[in-house]
Amino acid sequence: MSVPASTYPATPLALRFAQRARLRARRERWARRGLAAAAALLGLLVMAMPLFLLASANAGGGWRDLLLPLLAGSIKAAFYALLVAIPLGLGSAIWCARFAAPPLRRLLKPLFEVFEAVPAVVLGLIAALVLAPWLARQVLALAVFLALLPLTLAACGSAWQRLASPAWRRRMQGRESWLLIPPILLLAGLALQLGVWLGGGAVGALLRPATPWNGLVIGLMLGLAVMPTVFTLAEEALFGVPVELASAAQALGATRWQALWRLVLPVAAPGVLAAVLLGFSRALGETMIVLMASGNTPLLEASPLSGLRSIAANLALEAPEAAGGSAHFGQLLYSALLLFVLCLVLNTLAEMVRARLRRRLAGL
Amino acid sequence: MLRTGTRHAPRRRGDSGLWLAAGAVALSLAALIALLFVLLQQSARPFLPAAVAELRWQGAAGPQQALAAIVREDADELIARASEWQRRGGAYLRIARADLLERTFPPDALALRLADGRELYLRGDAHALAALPSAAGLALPGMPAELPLRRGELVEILAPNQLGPGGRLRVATQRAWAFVSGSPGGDSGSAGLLPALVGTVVLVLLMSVLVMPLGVLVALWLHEYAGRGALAQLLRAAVANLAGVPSVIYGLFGLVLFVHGLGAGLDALFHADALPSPTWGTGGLLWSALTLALLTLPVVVIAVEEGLARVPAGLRQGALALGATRAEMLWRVVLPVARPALLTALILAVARAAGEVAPLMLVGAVKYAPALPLDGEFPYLHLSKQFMHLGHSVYDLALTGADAQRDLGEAHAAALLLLIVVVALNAAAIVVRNRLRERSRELSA
Repeated sequence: MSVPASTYPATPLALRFAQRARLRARRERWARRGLAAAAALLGLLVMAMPLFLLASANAGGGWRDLLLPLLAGSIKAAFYALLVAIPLGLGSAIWCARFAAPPLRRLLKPLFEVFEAVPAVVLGLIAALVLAPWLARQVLALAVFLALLPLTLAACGSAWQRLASPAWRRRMQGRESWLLIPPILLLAGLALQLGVWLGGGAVGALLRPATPWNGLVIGLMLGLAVMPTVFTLAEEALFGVPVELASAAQALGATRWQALWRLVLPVAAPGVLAAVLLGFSRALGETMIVLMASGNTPLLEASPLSGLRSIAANLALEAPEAAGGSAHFGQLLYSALLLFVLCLVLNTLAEMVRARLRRRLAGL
Repeated sequence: MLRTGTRHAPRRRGDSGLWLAAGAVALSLAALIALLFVLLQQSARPFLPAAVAELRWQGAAGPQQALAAIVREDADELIARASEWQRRGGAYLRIARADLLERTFPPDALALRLADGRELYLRGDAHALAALPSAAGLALPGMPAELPLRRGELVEILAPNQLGPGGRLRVATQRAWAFVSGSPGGDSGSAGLLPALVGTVVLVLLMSVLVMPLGVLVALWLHEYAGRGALAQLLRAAVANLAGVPSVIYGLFGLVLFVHGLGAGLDALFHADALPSPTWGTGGLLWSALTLALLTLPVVVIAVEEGLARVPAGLRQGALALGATRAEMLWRVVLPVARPALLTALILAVARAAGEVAPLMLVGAVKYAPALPLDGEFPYLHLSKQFMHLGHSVYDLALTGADAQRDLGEAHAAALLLLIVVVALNAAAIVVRNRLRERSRELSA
């Protein structure tokens, strides 16, 4: 266009606009259709997943012998993992959301987020090659450590409250967790010594695992893997409770802990429950850690000192070799369907409970 | 009421729970540090040059003697690697502490490494050996006559007992670099991670190309067109549930849908002459990328939708008020403003995909692939071929390696590399997200 724009009167511009209007309207229509098509494709994929499992799954009569041990293995692994993940994740969440000094919280939150992203195969590797052989000799030490840990923490707490000067207590308020690292390490050393000392006797023989790759190892490592999930969701729920509630309680004479335990925790309870449910669902579906460190023996035993084989690990082990369309493959699909439904139920429950928390917080 | 005076001050009662919570944080941090420490320590092991000792021990048939590198020792026994004349991993000695008679570390002990990964130990002069022409045959003490060696086959000549800490570190760095950038040496086990690294990167790039357009389109529809309608809520719930489906089920889905379904169909149509050996009807790069794209789709949709929600309403209304259609407003205003959110979504998807191993075991990652998926031959990117993957290499080296003493260390090194890649990606996502939050705050202010 070499003609200067100012020589055009207003009407041709309107004309050009009118000419382009049809093109623009068409583009708008196509954009809408394209987006709707993409959404429909996604919806179709979502529907396809359970449907294909349903259509080709085939229990083949082997339910009791084949699937029950696998299901029991999955639940056992997830249960022991939660035994580790709930105290660690929930305790950390409580500390981080309500008590930690803001700089500490800003450090901890991304740290846990990154921890959540650590590939499971890395954790599985350490569990299988380092933790399992070491733990096989140190079960007793672990038991001693776990038994003495709460006592030690409480004792450290009350000692600090009594002995430290008020100035130091104020300085460390919200940072007390750093103070606890030396006592925890000391206790670990002591427990190792005690484990060696007690290990020769009858108790040591009783606590000797049948195999290094057992439920205990899975519980510890899978628990660590699930812990950030529990932490993130529970922290979010606890942090969302208005500060005024706790402040009012403390103004009426409650301690920081009483305010939390009696007031904040009950309000945030649905969020915490959702965190636990999602943690359980994630632990059920976790594959690599269980595959590498559980020994993959399909046993129907609840003992943490025996091995297990989970549905997910079984899928990873057997599906690459099974011929498509065979009875074996149908059975694998059936077990996958079972796992899918379990996770679906847990996730949906968690989502419902979280929605309840949101309503409750909106009311406050 | 009066009883709560100064004497029974309830201030300290029941505060021990607080310390338990603090202890949970401390314990988690300690566990995190311990994991990292173990990983670093274990992965440094195969690269640090081991001391070479002259061992004398009480064997079944009288005292025995050998020059060997000490690989591992604990309170009960000692594992050493003697010269591997025959094959890699074939000359380990396991000696009980009680049987060990004498152990000296002669300063002139040499550790030679061959191109195929074998190691030889002998006493001699490193400089004289290094100065030989590469075609010269070697006459080493203890060498079987039927297995001649040339100087050119030696890739590393070390006198490990003379190395100081700096020298050991230098050798370890060189070896680690060679391991990361090298290729596997045929059947003698793994000697490099390069193919696995290339396979991982190509897979993740392909997955991003597949997942980003669909994910962004779905998020746009959900947020801009569907709003809070019943259909949109249903799709949102489905996406949220999809995010919670175990990854191995995605693998199974990919196996049935892509490999057994699409792949077998393609074979019957286009590669019928090659049957029964499958072309597409087996695990491969494309099927793995599609499976991972499905796996990461919820991540992308959720992250992009969150980013779209952060675009200030004033910008949209301004664009619409100036006469833009809705598509124009989205293309010219909303998407450019939400660009960091798209980047966050991409990085999160890549980080999730790079660390996933379980689905890949079903749809295409293998222990050893003879060729890279990306090369100079047409069509350059080989979509139907099986490939090596970093995470799968970790699993494979750890559980099925032939030479445990070396492979376990290398598995840890591969795991460390994978961890570095994934953590760097996640840290990048967190930084971008925080920038994005600041920017959206500025825009709405």
